[in-house]
Amino acid sequence: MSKLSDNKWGNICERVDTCALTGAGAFIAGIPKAEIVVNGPLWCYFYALRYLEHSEYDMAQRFHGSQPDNNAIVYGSEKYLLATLERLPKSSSKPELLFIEGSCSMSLIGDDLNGIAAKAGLPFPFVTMDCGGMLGGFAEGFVKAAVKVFDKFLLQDVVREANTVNILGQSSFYLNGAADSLELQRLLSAVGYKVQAMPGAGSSLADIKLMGQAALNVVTNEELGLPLAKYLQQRFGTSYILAGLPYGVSGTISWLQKINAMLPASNLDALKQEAEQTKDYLTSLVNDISCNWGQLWFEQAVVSAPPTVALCMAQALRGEWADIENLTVICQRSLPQESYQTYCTVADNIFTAGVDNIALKDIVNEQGAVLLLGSSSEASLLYRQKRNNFISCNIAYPAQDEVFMLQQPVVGWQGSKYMLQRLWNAYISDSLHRQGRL
Amino acid sequence: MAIKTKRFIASRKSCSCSMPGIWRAVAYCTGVVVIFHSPKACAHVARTMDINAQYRSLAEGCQESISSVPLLSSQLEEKHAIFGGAERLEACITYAVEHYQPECLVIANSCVAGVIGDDVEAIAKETEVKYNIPVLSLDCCGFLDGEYYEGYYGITELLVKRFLKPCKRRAKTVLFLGDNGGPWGHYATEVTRILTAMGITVIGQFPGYMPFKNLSHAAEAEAVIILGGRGQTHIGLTKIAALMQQQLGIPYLDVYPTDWAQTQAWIEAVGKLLHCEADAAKTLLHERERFTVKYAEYLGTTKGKRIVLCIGRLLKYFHPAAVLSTIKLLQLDLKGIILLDAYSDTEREEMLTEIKKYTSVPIYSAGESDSLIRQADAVLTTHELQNKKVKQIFLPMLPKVGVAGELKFMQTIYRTLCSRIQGGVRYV
Repeated sequence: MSKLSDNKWGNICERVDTCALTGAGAFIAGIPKAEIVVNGPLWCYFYALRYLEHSEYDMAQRFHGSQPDNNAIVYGSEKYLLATLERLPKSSSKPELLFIEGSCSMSLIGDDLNGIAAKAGLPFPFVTMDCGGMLGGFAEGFVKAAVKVFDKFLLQDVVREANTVNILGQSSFYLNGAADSLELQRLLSAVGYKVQAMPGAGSSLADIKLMGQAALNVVTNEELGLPLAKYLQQRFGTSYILAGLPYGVSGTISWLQKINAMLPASNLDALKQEAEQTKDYLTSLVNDISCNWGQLWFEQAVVSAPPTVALCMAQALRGEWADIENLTVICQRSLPQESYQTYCTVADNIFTAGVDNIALKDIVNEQGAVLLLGSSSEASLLYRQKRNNFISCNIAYPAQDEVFMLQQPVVGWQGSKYMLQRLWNAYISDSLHRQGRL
Repeated sequence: MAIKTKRFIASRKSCSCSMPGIWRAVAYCTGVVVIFHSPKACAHVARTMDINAQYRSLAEGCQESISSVPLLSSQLEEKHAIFGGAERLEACITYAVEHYQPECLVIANSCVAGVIGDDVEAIAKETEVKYNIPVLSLDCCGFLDGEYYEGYYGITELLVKRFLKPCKRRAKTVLFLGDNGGPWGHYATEVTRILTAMGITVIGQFPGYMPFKNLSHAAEAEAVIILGGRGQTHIGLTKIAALMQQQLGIPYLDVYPTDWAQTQAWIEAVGKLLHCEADAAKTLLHERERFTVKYAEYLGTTKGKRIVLCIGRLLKYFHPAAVLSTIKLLQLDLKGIILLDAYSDTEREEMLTEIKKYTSVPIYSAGESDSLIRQADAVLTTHELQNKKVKQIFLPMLPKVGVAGELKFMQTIYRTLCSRIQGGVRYV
């Protein structure tokens, strides 16, 4: 057997991730008025740009590329980067922050990005970082870029404010990320917290600078937020909580209660009441739908996404939204603390891409109704298998087979309504199509 | 005011990467396993292309009928920049052989492997001996020594040289050479339709879509039909076809049926190549009738409409003749041609010279053309423009082919002109 027969190799077509270059770009792009320059091949730049454009269509206006040719590996990329930096002040509005990231091959040749940026005499602050795929995937890039920004901009001498929290681990470039972040902020504000910042998810550089004021850091997506929480704990002594994502109505109340246990909120009861009303409303509605369409039942559900999304979504799916005989979760990467039970206690199987190397065709039942909550990547594998016993809803990128126009959260009770609506509509549509085929 | 494109592209070369080209050359050859000697992310990029292509096919009503082959990555990390990645690659190869029992391994090198300096060629040779399976690799590292097509053609050439053998030929059969969306894509389905009408059978699509074990039978075809394009695609595929002719004695056809005129030439050339001129003449008559009847339906809407053509692609990738011919057939009123800020002086001059062979309409630079665009009913463009108020029809790198392709293009123009919605980009 091979020395590394630990399944880490496996078929990449069965997995979903991007590049650290994209993740780093996503963190910075989540700060309004920040711009990014990729010092790397056009191919790598363009791939990252296309990924970010899914969430922000006009991203090309603040995501630039130096586009060096192959000779830059020998002679350096300085002339390409300088030309790009010189073009910037003319082409863009003055950014509050310019982030310059090197791709993997450009990082290897050792160009001094800081030196080149200084030479360009930029009239705005900048941060540089060697990046690229050798660093890892989306999460690694996101975290490293965040730490770079924190290192440079966080103010040290700030006074801690009671009831103030930061939300760590949100990205505007996860599917529904921007809408989810706003809803999380709304929920926390409604129970009496002040949300200081959500770095990488819409907070301004000015708000990020004051993150040290928070009394508690709330970590949502663990793979993105936990390393930042640890950083802030070390630097400011701030406690943190691995809260996960509040899917479902009961899930949202549990989420708020968990945070409340760490940092008491002033207005939790009012929100509990709102939750009960929503629960009643949804129960009545589902009863009515079931009267015609029957039980929302699946022989199997497969939930595949970045780990925190997948685990928390699976919990709400089985606990609140649908009846499932077998529930399988595929985490598209490991959690930093591998604490699956923190987020999900109801799954029959939990697999991790890159650790458990099992092909999707061997996971998904060939018979019986299957629900796939994942991305277009998993659906594409099933289409190629000519499976016609599944319905799918995208909860992660890539999402090629579904359109998202509304800024609609998936978290909270607004999100619970939205997900139930999607599940029922997919179920009804599938029922009608099946009848059409008979 | 100057018009601006949505994305800024400065590169003249090194615009793409050889690894996805290598992947695509064997992506559906059952029996092959592909390894990227690269960071994991490079394989994710190739997989993203794969997903996009699949959904494009699905959107056109064509479902892929076979699954892609396994794609592995040696998952180079920062530490390998110091200690080298050879051991890592060997471990990945061992896994691939033990887990998938491939009939052939293909290794693609990344720019990172190139900078580190791993001797992949030597590892490939050792693997062949150790596991007694063919291992193909190229001296081409990511974007360092070539681009997408260097990877695609490099592996294709190796496949021809090592695995294609002379065979007894079957009359009135052809082998497709090239990709263009695969057997379920527009190109292959359209030319298959026309060939079937002429009584000709397609035995496979090489290189990417034949099981590895069938490669030795590829030369049974009477002729090779190149599924070509412009620029590198055409040149590279023609070279491969010439190699096949030299090695296997199979003649080839390298006409690209990109518009109606070229489609007619293509049908005639197929008839000549496969000695079925009468069938070709009959098919041509039928296709001409079909084409004429259909496009005449659009004239009521298209005649006299104000059109502007924006060109920013180099001549080797975009020839203006086909689109100018369509504009003429639809009796559109071409108000002017805008050359976008994407050319060097020489490249601009080349494009100007070529355009002037086909039309005498005024030609503008991007800086002086905003008002022209605002007055147009629609803009045909090679680059998406930032202006969201004008109706744009995006001209693809690889235009659709045959009668169906030309009609689809005309239909897009017709529907764009029918649309009462302001702005937006329409894709052909």
